[in-house]
Amino acid sequence: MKANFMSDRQLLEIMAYSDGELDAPRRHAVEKLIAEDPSAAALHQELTACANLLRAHEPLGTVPETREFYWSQIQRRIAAEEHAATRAKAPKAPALGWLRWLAPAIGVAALALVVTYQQRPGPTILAVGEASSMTFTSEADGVTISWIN
Amino acid sequence: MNIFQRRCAPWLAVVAASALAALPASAGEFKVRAQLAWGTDDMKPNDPALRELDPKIREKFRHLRWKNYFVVKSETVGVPQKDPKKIQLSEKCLIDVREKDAMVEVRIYSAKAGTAPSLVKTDSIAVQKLKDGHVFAFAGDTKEKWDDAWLVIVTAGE
Repeated sequence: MKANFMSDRQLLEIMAYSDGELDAPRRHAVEKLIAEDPSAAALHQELTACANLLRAHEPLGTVPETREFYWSQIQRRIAAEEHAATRAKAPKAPALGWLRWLAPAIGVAALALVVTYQQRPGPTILAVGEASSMTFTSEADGVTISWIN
Repeated sequence: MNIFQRRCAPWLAVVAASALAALPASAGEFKVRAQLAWGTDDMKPNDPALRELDPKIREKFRHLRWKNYFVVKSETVGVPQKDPKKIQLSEKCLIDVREKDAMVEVRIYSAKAGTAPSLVKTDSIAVQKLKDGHVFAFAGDTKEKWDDAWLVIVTAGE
């Protein structure tokens, strides 16, 4: 809506005033205009109502985790995929004749490693001293996770 | 008081005190179950000692990204109010628990053969929350295997 008796500049000033963007002297000038001109007052009222309506109904995307926890999970997935891609792209070394003889020995060593690994399954913690961590709590799910970095 | 009563009274007191002392320290003590679990995208290794994490607890970790969670060790202990109770979950993972001001204080240590365990982190959770089914966990990346995770899960004991 554009009032009949207002210039474009006045219109812009009222819009800026409605958004709280004016300094004191310009704010006083617009307040004077609104007090004296009913069309300026009507425009200001309409803009304010519109802004309030938008603020009240603006859709907000929320995640149940804290921002740090949410992004750390994404970062972890990206790192995992990059690692997998790097492994897939790694060039294969040319086959050497002596490797044919070494291969059975490597196989036996690998088997020994697998057996050793299976005898000690599970994770270990290597952090020393009070480690930094971030905590995620979901009361809805009934869980608190203290993630140690 | 006759002579028999006079002679026997001190002994009866000693016997009563001994009987009281013999009562288990854990009577009425709040219990927690501590589980060391392993989060991975791999299939279950061929190890009968590993078992899958309880689906109800598994569901609570739906915010974490791993497909499978295997319990490496599980232990239920009473939570003392004075000296912390140590729970050795693996060669390299040790926790202790104690009750303090209606909270369960959980401390996690990194253990290494031949050296004293070093404290990694301390955290607390209300006893009532655990009784209500809340699950508390310390977790982190596994250093041994790329992209796996370890979890030390504390829940109310049976």
